[in-house]
Amino acid sequence: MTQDEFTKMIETYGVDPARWPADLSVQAQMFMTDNAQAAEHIMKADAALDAALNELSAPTPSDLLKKRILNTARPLAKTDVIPVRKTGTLNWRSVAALMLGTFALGFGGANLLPTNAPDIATTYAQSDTDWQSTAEDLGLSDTYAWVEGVSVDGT
Amino acid sequence: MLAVVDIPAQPADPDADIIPSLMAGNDAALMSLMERHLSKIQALAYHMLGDAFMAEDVAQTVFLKTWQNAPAWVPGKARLLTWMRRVATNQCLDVLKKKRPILAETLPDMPSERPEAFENIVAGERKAAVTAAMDALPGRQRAALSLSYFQHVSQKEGAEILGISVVAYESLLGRARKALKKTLMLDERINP
Repeated sequence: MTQDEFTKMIETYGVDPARWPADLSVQAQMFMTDNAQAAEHIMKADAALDAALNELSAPTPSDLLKKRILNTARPLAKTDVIPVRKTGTLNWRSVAALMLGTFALGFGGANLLPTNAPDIATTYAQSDTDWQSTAEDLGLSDTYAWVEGVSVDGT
Repeated sequence: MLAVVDIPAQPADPDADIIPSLMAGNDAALMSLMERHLSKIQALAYHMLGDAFMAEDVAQTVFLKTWQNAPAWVPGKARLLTWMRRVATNQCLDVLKKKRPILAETLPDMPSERPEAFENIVAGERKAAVTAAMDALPGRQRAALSLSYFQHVSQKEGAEILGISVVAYESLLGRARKALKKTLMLDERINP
């Protein structure tokens, strides 16, 4: 290993042999043995940087963090949400059936509305409730939850 | 969208034993995963962001993403910890992009005529000086340094996590260390 190669390695990885690339470590050690003074001079600044970096010890994860992760993960257990589809495609048949059923109910329901029907926002709000009920009646709660991005209990 | 990362085949995954349980949604497997890797992931986020609270948030996000994506995990394609480090790194890089630059007042006062050498700064201020110097690094340099120096990943794994070549990864490392030495005035060749 040449002096330039040794310098470049030290400037990239620091002075701790444990951090040196495995394929350079032996050659670097040999360079240090054969050129002790030069190696010490080359390593001086990076040794100081390594010592400075070693001041940055990371905190230990708290038990609170572990509990937070578990408490957030548990409601996301696989029985509560639609699993990620491995094929990446939608179950179009279920969505189509839901939409067809909803349209039929909405159309039929709209014909029963009084002439002084409430405003559109209220109508849509009612329709949302109707769609969820329709999905449940058709046994498509899971699909409704997946489409709407909610859990089965509606949260 | 599932993050099945396009990483070349890796040596045997040390977490292969708990992956099936994770895929099945087993709480105990998640606990076991935390016992193994929460410290590493939080430390990676801490060294990239310099903030313990933000590091916890990133760690939580990484573990929840791992948990949610476990059912679609493809064993043998990538090591789980490499994937988690990649998620953590990308998460931190996103945070750093939005973070405001550190103000000069956070650095310890130094006389402008004779800047004080780092080794002469009192111990309590040295950590602040190093933290400020790290904060000033560009995100990807900081990521490379965090992965290499603090996480002890190999240059091959570090390059894969950042999605770059080994040569580019080593270039990031060299530039990061050079910038830190300059900021901290550790190299008489840079700061004569």
